[in-house]
Amino acid sequence: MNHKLLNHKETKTQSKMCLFFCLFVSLWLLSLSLPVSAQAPERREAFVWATAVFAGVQYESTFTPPDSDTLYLLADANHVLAPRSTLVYDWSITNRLLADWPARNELVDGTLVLHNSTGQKERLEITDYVIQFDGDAPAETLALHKGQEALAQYAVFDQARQAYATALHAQFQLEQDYQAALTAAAQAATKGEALAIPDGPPPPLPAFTRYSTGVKRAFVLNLPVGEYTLWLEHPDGTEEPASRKHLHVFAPRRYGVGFNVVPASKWTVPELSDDPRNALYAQSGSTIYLQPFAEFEVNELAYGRMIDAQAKGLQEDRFVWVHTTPYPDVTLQIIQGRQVVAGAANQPYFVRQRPGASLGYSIEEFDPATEKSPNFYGYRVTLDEAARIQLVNGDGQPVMGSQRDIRPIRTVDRWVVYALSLLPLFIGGVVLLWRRRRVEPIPQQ
Amino acid sequence: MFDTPKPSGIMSVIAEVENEDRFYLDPFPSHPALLMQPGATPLIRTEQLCKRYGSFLAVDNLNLHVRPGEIYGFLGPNGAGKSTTLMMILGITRPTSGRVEVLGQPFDGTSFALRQRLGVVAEDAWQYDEMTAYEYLAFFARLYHVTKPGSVIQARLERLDLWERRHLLVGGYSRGMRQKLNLCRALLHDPELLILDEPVSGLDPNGIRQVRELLVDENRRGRTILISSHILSEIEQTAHRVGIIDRGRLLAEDSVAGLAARLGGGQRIELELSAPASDLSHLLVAQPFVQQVVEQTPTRWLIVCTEGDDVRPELARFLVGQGTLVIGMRQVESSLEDSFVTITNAAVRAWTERDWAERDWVERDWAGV
Amino acid sequence: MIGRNVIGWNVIGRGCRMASARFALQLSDRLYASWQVARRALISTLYSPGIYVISTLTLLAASTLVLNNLAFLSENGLLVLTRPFFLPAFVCGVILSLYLSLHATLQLVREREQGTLKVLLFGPVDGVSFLLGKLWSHSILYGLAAVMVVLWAVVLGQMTNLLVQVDLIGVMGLGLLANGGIVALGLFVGAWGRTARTSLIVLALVLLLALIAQFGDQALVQMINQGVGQANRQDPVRFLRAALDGLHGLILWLSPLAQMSRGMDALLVADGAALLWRAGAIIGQTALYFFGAAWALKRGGP
Repeated sequence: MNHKLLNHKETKTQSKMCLFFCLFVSLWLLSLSLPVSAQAPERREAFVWATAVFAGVQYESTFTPPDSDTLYLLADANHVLAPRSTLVYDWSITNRLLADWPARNELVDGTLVLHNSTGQKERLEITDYVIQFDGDAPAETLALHKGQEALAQYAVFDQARQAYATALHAQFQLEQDYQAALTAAAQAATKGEALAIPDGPPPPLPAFTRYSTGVKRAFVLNLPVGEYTLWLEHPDGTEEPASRKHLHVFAPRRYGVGFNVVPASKWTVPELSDDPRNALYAQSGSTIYLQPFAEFEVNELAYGRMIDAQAKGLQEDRFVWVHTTPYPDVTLQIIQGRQVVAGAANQPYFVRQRPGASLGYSIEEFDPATEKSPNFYGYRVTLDEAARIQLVNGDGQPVMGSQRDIRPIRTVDRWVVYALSLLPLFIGGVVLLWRRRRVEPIPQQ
Repeated sequence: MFDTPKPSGIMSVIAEVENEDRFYLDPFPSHPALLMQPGATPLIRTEQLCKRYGSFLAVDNLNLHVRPGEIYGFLGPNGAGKSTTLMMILGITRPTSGRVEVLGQPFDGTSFALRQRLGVVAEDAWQYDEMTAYEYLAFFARLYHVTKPGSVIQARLERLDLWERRHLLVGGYSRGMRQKLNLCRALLHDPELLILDEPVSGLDPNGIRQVRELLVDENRRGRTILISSHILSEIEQTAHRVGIIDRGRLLAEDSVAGLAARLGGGQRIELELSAPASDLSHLLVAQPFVQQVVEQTPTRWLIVCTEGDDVRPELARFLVGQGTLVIGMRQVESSLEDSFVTITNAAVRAWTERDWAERDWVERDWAGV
Repeated sequence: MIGRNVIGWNVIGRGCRMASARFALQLSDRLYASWQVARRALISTLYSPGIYVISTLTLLAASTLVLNNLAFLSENGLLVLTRPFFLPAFVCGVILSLYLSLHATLQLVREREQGTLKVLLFGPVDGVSFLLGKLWSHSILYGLAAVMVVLWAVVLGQMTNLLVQVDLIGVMGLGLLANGGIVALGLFVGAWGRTARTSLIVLALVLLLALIAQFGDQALVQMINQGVGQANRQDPVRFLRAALDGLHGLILWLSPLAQMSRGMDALLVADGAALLWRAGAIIGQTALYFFGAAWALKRGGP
């Protein structure tokens, strides 16, 4: 008994001690924040891999912090890896490690050593590269050139830029000439002299939409799917300690066609349909406009970390759709059962505001004779019955991943839905009543 | 070489308990004694069974043997270690040391086949209140693979007058009815060995009689029964042998008659005094014709005297000489209760007088109790 | 030497055969006993109103989700959904699992407190078969409720024209596995707790901790990203976030519901390997809790 009491007392004392310890630690942690809240972040020198990765439609740049041990790249595409020495610091507001590029941004010289999972070793040298695209169709024209090609393409770009500058100058000159002619005509008119009025201003030059990075130096990688290990070897043969990383090269899981779905009733609030398993629901009789685009599905973690090496909250077993280019003109088919019941083509549409107090609008087919430009393009579908849509290409072949179910929704009173939920209670009532009839009631005392 | 003097009184009982080759069954005329052959494998056998909870020794080197075909009464005061022993026999509680054999096989509670051959009634009526009695028994009938469960359940319930209330929820049963239901459950699968912990507690006199008859009948059909109970009259009427346990040790084991005989075999005189006289007991024990004095209450004493002539006149003379007013004096037959009280009181007295660390004295010195 | 070896191997072989035969016998006995325990517990639960009330509540919650979708559609004119009944089914699964887990804990502790467990253990039932019985009965209860949910979805699908696809059964199947894990967790807590109150409090705390870890982390991330407060390297919020981050990771590996959620993601993208992996993880968790419970029951006694 005494022993038990003693144990009990000991336990109580231990609990109190534990409580005091926790309190002490909490206070200590809180106290840490007070004196340092106004301190500037500490910068420290670090080796980082700065990357410009092809993200499906454009290049994204990020850098891999020293404590991150894996790099992610999309397979069969050109990516840029630059070994750089910079200053890094913690930025607690976003809980990220940032690089102070203006303070230091030095290329670390060396050779990239790449090991694949079968033990094959490859060595890559630093090379020149440029990334170029045309702003009118960036996805279609995006290109990375390396080596001599990079220099040549940059020269072409530079030449085009200079030619454009010359043309711009000439255009400016013409503009000035025109203005001078106009002024002269006006002066002549005041004097009563007859002078020919110039025909009109010179036509404006189209905008220069080509873009190119400068010629830079880095490693350019284009790898098949696989697991690799890479590191930087200095010219003296030593390994840069912080450069060793695991490289995960991944491919899209599948390719498909996504749709921007514009409801006629609220055309400014389109919905997105990425997944071929999506069904499009709308009120019966309503109209929707479909805007297809190409897409591919990739692992969320790999893709997210590829474009932002410090991204958080990503899951390795989730997948995300990456939208690429609008889908080229194809035909849309509406199928019921196995029969194609209607088709639609990609058409321009114009949204006409209704005059008056009704504040409504109507969507009409675009007429170039009456309107300047369409509001949007799309395939028009009216929902009357459940059906399936798909895109077919010029050969009449269905486009993979373009199928969607479309279903008009029937309106149901909410109380009917709630009443349906009471089904288990009804079954329970029947069971309990049946049980009650089988059991002898407990006699009252 | 030398004749060891034969121990007498309680010591003789203890000595025989300690003897592995003992055999002292008192044939019970109403029971099939042929089942209780000497040398037959005991259905329950514990060897040096110990259970320790921290520093507390609940069961201390217990050697228990229940032979086939017998009804064995397992007695002991509250906290003596009866339930712990039963739990170890049933494999519910793991012994600290020692060994348990049930139905001739080592048993640690893991053998499903062995458990199928046991029927157990616990002291508390633990049942599923939300089931009817019939459903309750049907559940256990399925669990024990009872063939033709319907008729078996009906027979069991009818025997204990519960058939009419079979559709009543067990929650509505009285304590006595619950106890009967427990017994029905334990007998459903015709077990070879019945282990009953207080099977008649909560029963009315009629119920007690019914259960007693049932147990005797079951025993006649060859079923071995171990009953742990504090209702000594019941054990006295049904058990072939009893074992008395206190503070985890088996103090005595014999037939009811055998126990009485070994408790001195002398005359037993019950005295009723006009007032408590505690000093008198020491003087009485010192008399040559007195073997033992048991103070049942401060004014009611049981005097165990030597065998032979009637000592009542001598006793009366002594008491009068001491100036004690005796209200009543009668010669009584030795009962199981007497044996139980005598043995356990003696042990308690001895234990409180001795150092715990030297408890081995019990076997050595008990002759003087 | 060779002869001795042969004899040795014979003895070992015979021993192994006997051990495996004994194991098979024990297994069949255990399965039979657990089925009887499950049957009793199942009937007993079906004769009480709790399961019907909770099933109704889950369907009401699920109905609210479906009605929300329909309200969105009537407001916006369009609704793009992959599986309109996945989320309602998941919500039903979570609520049912939590209820059944509490129910299993209470049943275990009550049987212990009232002594009915002891009576079972006197007979051909042991701790493992008893717990297995509880697991079975609660899985069957979940199964019955799941059938009701599927029926409800089919009827509602017919009424509204929302698509009900076969893989809804997959969600309920995954839920069945997760329910097993959660019930095993409940049994684990019940086997450790000595009283119903203690066990329920502990189980509630465990579940609360899981929720805090799952959602608290996200809330803190948002808070920090929005620049609330003076954050710096030693800010306690960062420590708290790191702790919650770690806890979140741990919970993911300990919570069958978290695995179920991941499994549903796999089901949505028809990733069979990931689905199998998640199902395997849930089974692993169930086994962990189950054997933990069996050990606790053996250690603590009935």
